[in-house]
Amino acid sequence: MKTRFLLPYKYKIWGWIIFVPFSILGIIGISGNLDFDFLDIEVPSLLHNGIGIFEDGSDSENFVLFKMVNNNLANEILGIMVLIGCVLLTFTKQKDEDEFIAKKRLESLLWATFVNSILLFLCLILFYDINFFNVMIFNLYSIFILFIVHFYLSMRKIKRELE
Amino acid sequence: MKNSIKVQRAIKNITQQTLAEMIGVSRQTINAMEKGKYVPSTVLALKLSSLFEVPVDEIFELEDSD
Repeated sequence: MKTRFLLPYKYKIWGWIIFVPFSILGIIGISGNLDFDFLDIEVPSLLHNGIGIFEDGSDSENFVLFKMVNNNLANEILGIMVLIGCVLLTFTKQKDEDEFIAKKRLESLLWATFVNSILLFLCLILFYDINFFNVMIFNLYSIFILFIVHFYLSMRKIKRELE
Repeated sequence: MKNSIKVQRAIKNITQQTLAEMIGVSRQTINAMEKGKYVPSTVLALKLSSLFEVPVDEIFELEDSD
């Protein structure tokens, strides 16, 4: 069966190779400090000082639309690598991809989107101020992680039924 | 929906694995269909029909709940 938007199976292993170490580093990076001096560079910022909460109550009229700013790239690199890992694990074919697996894939995606909505709802009512933004970092990836867990467990269950 | 894939497979004397390879799906798909857990696409139903040399409605049968 032809499936659109899916990468070949051979990329799946790269998904694991990238996802596992970088998500561990990511968690370390959030809790501690994982900045490396050589990653300090000037980068273009599309919207600078736009969010008033960092400015201690100052109004948001002072934001600048485009500005070069100093930034440590460590968290950007970590974020992108975790994203690449998630995308490879989510959007690669199974070894024996067919219409039944495509159906299971869609079921897992539906489930993940639904559970992610519940998580987002809980985050909205349980976390405030800067804590909300910290929790939202996890929420950026939670839909992928929920999908990966649900889909791979259902694949394992199906394979077990064969024995 | 009920189906007689298992019976038809027995008549032809082929394993789930062989049938899967013949119609280009995985073995778990054949297993799920035989257990009634998966309703195949029209394409797959027609492939089964042509392989077993029987009409589609001899393999698949509607139930009251459908």
